Amino acid sequence: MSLFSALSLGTRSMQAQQRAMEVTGHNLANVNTESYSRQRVAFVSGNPQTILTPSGSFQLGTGVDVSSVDRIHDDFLEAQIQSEAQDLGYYQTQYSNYKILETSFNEPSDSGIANALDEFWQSWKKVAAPNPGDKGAREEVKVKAVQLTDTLKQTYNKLVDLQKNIDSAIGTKVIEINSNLNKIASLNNQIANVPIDADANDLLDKRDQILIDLSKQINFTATLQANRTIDISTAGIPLVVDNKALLLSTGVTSKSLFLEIRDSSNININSSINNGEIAGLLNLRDTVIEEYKKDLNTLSSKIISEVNEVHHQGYDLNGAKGIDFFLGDSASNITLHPSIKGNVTYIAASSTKENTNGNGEIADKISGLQNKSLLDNNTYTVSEFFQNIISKQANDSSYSKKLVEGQETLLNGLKGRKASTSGVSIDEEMTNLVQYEQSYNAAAKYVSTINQVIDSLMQMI
Amino acid sequence: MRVSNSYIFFSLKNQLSSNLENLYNSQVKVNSGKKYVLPSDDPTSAVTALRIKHSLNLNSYYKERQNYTKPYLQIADTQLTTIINTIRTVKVDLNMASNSTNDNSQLAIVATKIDKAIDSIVTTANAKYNNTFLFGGYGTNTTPFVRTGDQVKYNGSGHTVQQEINKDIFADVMIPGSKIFETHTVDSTIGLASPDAKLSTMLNSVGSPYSFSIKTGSGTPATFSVNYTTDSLQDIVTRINNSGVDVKANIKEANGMAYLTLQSKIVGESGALTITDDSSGNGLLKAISLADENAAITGTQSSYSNGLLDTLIAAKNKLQIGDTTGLSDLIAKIDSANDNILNITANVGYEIQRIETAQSFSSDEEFRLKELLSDTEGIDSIGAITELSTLQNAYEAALATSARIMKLSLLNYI
Repeated sequence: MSLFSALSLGTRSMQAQQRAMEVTGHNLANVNTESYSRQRVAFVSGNPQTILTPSGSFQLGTGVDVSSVDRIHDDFLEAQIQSEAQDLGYYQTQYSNYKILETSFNEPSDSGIANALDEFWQSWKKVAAPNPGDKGAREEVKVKAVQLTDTLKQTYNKLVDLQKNIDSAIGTKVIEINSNLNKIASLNNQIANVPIDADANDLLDKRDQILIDLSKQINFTATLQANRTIDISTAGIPLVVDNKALLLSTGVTSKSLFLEIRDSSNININSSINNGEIAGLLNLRDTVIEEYKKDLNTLSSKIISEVNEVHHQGYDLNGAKGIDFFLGDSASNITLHPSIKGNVTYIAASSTKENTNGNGEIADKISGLQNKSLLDNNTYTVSEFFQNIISKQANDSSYSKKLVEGQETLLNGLKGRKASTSGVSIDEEMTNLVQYEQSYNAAAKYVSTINQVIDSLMQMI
Repeated sequence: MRVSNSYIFFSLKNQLSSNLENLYNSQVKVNSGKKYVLPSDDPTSAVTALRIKHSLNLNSYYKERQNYTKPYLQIADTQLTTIINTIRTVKVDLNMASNSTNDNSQLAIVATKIDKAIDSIVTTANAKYNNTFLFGGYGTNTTPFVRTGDQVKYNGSGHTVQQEINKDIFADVMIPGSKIFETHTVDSTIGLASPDAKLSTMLNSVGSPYSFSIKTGSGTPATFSVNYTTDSLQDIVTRINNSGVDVKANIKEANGMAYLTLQSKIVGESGALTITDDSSGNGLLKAISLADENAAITGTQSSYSNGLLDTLIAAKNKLQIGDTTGLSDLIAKIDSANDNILNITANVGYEIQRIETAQSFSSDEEFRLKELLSDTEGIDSIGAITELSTLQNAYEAALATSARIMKLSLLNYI
């Protein structure tokens, strides 16, 4: 090896240590960057030269080279995080909306349906005896009936509002999903353009982060291609192919008031979405809240039909047969008959046409409906049926809260493991920095020494 | 295990956040005094509280009803006692009139006293409370007793007004005047499926056209025609009530069937009912087992014994003309009527007692339910505050250790 080659060896050594310090700097700069995977410089010794001498031959090293900058990353862990993030997104959406659902019912309280029901039945008892003709007692029945219908309608409308809000959230979520699909397609494009033997560490990190974001939003399968691009599909429906995003859209059909999610071919894919925030929203909108609405409607229609049936048997204060007490057939349209609202003498409390002022047998019968098992195949009274609704809701909400807590613990554990594997340690980087600095200084000293040797040689001339 | 800076900060953040959340939840419990804010915080307690509140609502309603109803019975009790006292005074006068030698003018004075006593009893029996006649049955806004000369008519109904004073426990709140002074009443024993359905749809064996007649005492019978294809039981009732005959017709519903009830408006024996079915044995009244074609009542008659008011009127009439024969029989009848009123008064007293028992039960129940509600939804203050302190200590410890760990770095030593 010539002296100039030795000089070159020193220079390359300095360059390698400098690269390593640059990578350390990059690591330190990204100590707080979410989803950043620390990078490591891989040093390799230079290709040796074979020196032939009369006494034999030997190989002489040529210093050091940087072969690659590696990303410290666990693909299996990343896949687990993506999978668990889907569940968390689903559960979190459920839980946050269950809380709103609970607030809508406002139980136990003095202004909810349970209390309105109690007061309604009790007001009939006051008409029943001892003075059924008393206008004051009849006014109370009217007021409590209006209070009950208002409370039922308000609660029902709150459920409809919640469905509308969720529907709007679904629209927004689709926009967010599309944005992420575009980002993935764009990153796929950039990654594909990086030479295959070069590392695309930072681009891969960015794509991993977007994949986690997307996992929270929707269920999908990611397939890694040979050119390091990732194809995304949901239940076989392609969403990203190579560098192309096949965006979702929303639309309303004539059959439904609510948005449906469509793929790039404009086909409804609601049934294919089964995890992530958007699946949680769909389930709440189309199943959970619908069930509560159905329960409220069942409760209301039973109250309407049973009260009306008994009321028809009675006679009002004018001796006329009882008219419908309630109008409507569900929680959304239950109202007190306007004639009764305008004139309480139309309340048919008497079982006979005569003595309607003193006969309150029908009022007593209507009040007695509260103790009759009218719902769920004559298993539950009206109050018990409503208590069951609240019980179901409280337990569902409590269960979803526990699922969120459990899932958060699981995901945090995985994120902790990722932070442990891929996260930057300042102490470690500083140690490396000192190490590289010293190596750099040593290489510089080596160059300086070789330079002195060359100078000495030159002075000999 | 490798510990990176992001791992340390990630873990610290999670731990601090979890500690703070626990501290917040504990603080909310202490502040609100409840185990839950939303039912999902403690579903079992929340649903149990809902059930207890339902029971409390019912209980408070029954308490209100007990307080509301009691005065009706208390006033009825006072009125009945007044009537009993009047009867006692009348009896003294009658005994005196029958036992001693009195001239006609003295007997006429007794007759006048009895006449006034009858008026006094009628006025007392027309007592009102809260704008309601106490002895009119369902006729709460019609003056129950009206005296016209020697006849007293009852315009009320024969129903006893009941009030639910606790779940499925009913108290007799208002006793009808017809039970106190007794009127003739007859109930059909065969019910019809509906009061409003046409008779032809429910009765097969009745003929057409058809009529029946009703009379009270020695009055003129009133005749009512029946058209099976166009009339319902309710139509017949309305026809009787609008006819002017001294009979009150009613429909009594029991076990899903409608029964016809006829009640003489004239108080006492002179109001006895005569009902004749003119259909040669296949008419409506026969079909519902109320009367037959021979003017024989076949329905269930009220256990009629003696009427106080018509007996007093009979005694008064005798004394007015100085006739003392048979006075002792009348006194015996008054005694019997007095016994009936004493029984009713005792029953009223019994109902007052039942209400007082119910009031006491409801108050105990309220106390018990409130205690139960407090146990169900209220926090254990000492436990909750201890928990809050523990969590506060845990949070402070986490903050202190976090602050120390965060400061450590190789940078401090280079």
